Amino acid sequence: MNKLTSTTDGLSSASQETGHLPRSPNGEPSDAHPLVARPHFSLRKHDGSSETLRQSQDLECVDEPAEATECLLSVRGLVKSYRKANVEIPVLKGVDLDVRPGEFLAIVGQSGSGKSTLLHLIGLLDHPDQGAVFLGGDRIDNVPVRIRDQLRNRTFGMVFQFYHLLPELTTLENILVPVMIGRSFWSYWRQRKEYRRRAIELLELIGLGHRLKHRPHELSGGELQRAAIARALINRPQILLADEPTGNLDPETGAEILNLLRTLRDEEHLTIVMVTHDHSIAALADRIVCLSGGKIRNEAT
Amino acid sequence: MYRWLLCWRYLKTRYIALASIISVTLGVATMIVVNSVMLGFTHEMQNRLHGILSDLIFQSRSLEGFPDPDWHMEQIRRVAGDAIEAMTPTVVVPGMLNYQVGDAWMTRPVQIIGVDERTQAQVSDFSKYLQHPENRKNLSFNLREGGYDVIDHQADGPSLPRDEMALAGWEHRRRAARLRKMIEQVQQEPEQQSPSQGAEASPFTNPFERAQTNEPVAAFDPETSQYTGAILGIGLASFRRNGQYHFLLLPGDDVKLTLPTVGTPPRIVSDTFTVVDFYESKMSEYDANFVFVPIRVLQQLRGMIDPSTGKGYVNAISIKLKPGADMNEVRDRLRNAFAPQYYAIDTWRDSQGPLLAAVNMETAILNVLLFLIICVAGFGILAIFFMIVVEKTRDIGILKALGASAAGVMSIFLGYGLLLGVVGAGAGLTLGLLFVRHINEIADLLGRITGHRVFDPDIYYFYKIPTIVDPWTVGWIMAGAMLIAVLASVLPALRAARLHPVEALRYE
Repeated sequence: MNKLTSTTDGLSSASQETGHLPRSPNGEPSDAHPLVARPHFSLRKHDGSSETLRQSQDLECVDEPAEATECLLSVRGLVKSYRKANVEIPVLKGVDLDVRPGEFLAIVGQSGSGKSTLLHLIGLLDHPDQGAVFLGGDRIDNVPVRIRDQLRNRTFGMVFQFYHLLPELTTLENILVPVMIGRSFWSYWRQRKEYRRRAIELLELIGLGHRLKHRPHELSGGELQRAAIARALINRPQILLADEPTGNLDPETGAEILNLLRTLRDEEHLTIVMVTHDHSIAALADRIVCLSGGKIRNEAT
Repeated sequence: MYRWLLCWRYLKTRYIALASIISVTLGVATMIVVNSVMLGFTHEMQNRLHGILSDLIFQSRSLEGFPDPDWHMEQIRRVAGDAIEAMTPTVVVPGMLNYQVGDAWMTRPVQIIGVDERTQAQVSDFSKYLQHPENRKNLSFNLREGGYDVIDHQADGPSLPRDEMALAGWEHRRRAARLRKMIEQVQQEPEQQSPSQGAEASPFTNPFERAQTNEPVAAFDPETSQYTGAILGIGLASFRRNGQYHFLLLPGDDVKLTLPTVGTPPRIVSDTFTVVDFYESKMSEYDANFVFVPIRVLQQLRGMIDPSTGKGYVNAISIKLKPGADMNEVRDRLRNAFAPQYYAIDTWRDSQGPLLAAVNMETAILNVLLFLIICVAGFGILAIFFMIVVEKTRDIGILKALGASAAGVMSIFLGYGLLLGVVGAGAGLTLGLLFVRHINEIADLLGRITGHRVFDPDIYYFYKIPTIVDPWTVGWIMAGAMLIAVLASVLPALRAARLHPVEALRYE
């Protein structure tokens, strides 16, 4: 927190004023799948989820996560390979990983080690060939498309190396995109002021309060990544997945972004999974795991 | 929400896509203009035809006609009296018109129509097409003193001048008779004065009306009396050149009509008539063909009057129906009541069926062709949309990573297509309506630029291009254009929806 205060002016004062960001009174629509809705755990009694568990037990290579109540996110025996010109290139060869709530985990690996693929599988952007992903003890990699979309929208926040902001939209609109995606036209329109307020507060928290109306091409790399983080957080996800968030930034800016992530982890009660090839960046996380040869090799703290 | 936001932003930032809908715009505009002009022409033409022909025509299949029109009219009234407003008997016979222009005799084939001056005006727009204001109010076959229209009373704007009509009437007749007498005197004493000098002596000389007839008629003074009146189609007596009417004859001149009598074989009879007015329906086919004379005179000339009863034969009975009466239903009732081998009973639409069908066919073909233009524009949209989807691959990946569903991504591009269609069709609508509104100015401008009149009143009888904008047609055109824009975006939208998020994000 101290470091953050020193590096990002105006951020700490803004965050101190607001404290924890206000929760919108009815931000969660009633039609959200139980997996998507908060609280994190105790979802098994709801429809569908117990069934997905039973399916997961049928898989030979998958063990039930050992400490389901303790782990927010678990990965068991993930296998994934890509097909290029009829040659199968195995990327992940059975990855097991547990992430505790509130943890800031860094996955380190060389380029091509499959760390991005692992992150995509956790974030439900892709399907594993084998293995399973569990969220709060419930299997999520085989849920119906609609629920996958909802999970991506509400439960996971994604940050990419190349920021990936939409060039046609202003910073503020970019940040509001996940809110718009997750809600119907009318439900968004009714509460647009509320959402807008939350987006502006978030932008002020990460130090972009003066860039609301700017287009992405008018922002610097650090600003873009901050905007991308704000976009990832607008829907109050449980887990932030960051794919080389500092890969395109100079070391100083990268460190700022990392500090910002740490601060946000505390203030927004986030769990962060970050992949990077940069050990100095990874060192700023709570825990580091190393991915090489398609498996988690060692763990370090 | 994000769909509409993105559609809107894409619309505002992708000008290339706007270029692709220019053809939609032009197609819609052209379709609106063509349909309006065609509808205007059709409407005008139908009005004319209807005005000329009356609602129903009860015709004899033979040129000999049928006897006792009063009895027939009574029968018709008995069958369909509730729907009938007025009826008039007519005699129609092909004949020949002769008149003298200068020293030469002109012969023209004509349709001689005997009309009842009391009832003719009740069944059709006949009297509206006459050139003397009094005749329009109250039809008469007597020559008027003067006062014939020098400007076209049917034109609601500038029209071709017809100054010579100012001379028409009794004044013209007297002058022509005096001139003829002078010429006769000159011919008796050729050494004193040549005919051409005599013609030049008169300040009112018209080169076309130097002399009418040399036949002396016993006890007939052309300065004070006239032959039986005849109304000539204006096309028989005039021609248009260099934006002006030129008359070969004027009301007041005499003409000869030659026609076959009834009986087998028919004999040829001929008589002299005095032109008392011109008939201008603006359908050249009729204006260059019709000669109207009093029905009684025509019946006598043709020998159509039964000497024992004094009742005449007629060829046809024109029937005007009450407003709101069903023309086809009345026709069918009459067809059932009268022997079909003797009587042909048609509505005006039936008798002009081929012409009206041809116009409808023309409109339909034009619409199909123009709609194909919009379809071609659809393929332009398709191609450009594919490009945009490729260009936006990464954005699509981002949206999917942020939780957008395949349907959501698809609807971005469908919505974009719809929006382009709306913009294109809207621009086309504006352009088309503006064009239709100012079509005459545009035609004038084009004429001035190219030196070739687009809409030549020497050829067409209308002075302005008639246009009618039918809201339903416009609505269908708009809907069709928008539908095509949406259909063209289906394939690119499907492609966008099927993009794999990871591959889309990796796309550079």
